Amino acid sequence: MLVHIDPSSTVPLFEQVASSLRRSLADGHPAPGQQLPAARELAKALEINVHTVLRAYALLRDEGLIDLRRRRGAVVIGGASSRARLAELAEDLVREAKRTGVGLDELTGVLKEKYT
Amino acid sequence: MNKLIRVLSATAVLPGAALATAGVLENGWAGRLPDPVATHWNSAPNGATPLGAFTGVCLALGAVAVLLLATTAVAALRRGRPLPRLTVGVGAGFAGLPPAVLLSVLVANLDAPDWHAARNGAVVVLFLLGAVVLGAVAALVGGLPAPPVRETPGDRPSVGLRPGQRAFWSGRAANPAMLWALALIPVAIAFLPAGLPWPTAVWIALVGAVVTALTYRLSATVDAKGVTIRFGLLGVPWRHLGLDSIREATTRELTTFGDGGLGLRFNPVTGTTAYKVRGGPALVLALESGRTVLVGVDDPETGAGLVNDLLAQRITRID
Repeated sequence: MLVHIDPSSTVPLFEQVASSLRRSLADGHPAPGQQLPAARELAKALEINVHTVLRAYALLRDEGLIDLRRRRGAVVIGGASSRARLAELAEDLVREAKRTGVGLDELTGVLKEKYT
Repeated sequence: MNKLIRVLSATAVLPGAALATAGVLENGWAGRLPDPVATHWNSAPNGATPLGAFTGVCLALGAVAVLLLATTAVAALRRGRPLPRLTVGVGAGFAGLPPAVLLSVLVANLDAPDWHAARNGAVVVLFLLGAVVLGAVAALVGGLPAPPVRETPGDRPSVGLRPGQRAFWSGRAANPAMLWALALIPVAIAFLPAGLPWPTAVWIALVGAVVTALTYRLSATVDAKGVTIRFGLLGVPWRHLGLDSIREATTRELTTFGDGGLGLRFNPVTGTTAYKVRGGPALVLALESGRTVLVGVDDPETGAGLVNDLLAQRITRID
């Protein structure tokens, strides 16, 4: 499981951490049932605030990728790999839509058309 | 001094000289020794062996030990493997044990009318200390680090870490079969036909639990400070390798029972330390000292790539 950040980037650090973790989860590392590193350990290794890591973990929890438990920490949920892959693809899709000037309604229309 | 001469001096000449000295002295003192000679003491001599047989066994054991030590050391040298001082020292010390035992027996029996009148066997301590000194001298003479091998950076895995970026990698592996084995210990004890005394059964279960706790799980992390390896459920034992002690990282496929089997394994000849709870892909760390550390965890390619990128950044910063 690789987490990397670029402090000089304009993207907020918690989003960078979440994005890295999402990519690792999409690759199947760590597997469902396994724990993510303790927030304090990850923050220390990346030289960032522990609350930044906790905010990234909260984001992943809201996406249904991990479960935050009081004693066991951040645990990967079953099916996280496919959901993380989908979230990554959606992120790419939105980025491309913004770049080419496609609005939300138009993008939603494209998705509905493709889905059916 | 030539490396081969140094290695041969430490592993063949030094213990061989001790062996030859013991043989020559036995020959010279033959007329002053009883036959059989006292070879076992319990405050006073209480066991004897024919002089020729005892001398022959000691000399033969010493010769085999010297031969094994020297051939192993020369083979390691030829393959470019490291010869740590500790390994050479312990090997030479062990090869020096048979002549030390022979000399101590000869000295204790010297000028005694028969083996019952042999002197105190405590003199063996003196000769064992001599074997330790021999090992220490051999370690100083023959210990060699592996020649530094610089490989082209193109062969190394990389994760494309750019300057200024920070990264953390974590890989782990577990062996659930160990937990099943622990659960099966009480069942196996219960089915033993003769039964076991309960203290013995408790001890077996305790040892099983400790072994399982130590070898069930393995994890490795990489950050800007280096690589940290943690073994077992509690993360103990653990080992930290600073980036400055690592030359490069690669990956390898390990077999379950290769490199000494499962658990924490050290091969003194190759200088390889293996941390394994299963066969499969492993992170391979080549150290600056010439030694190698194998860590059997998942996704080692990414870990190896990050180590190499951090090493490259470190070298760039220093330059």
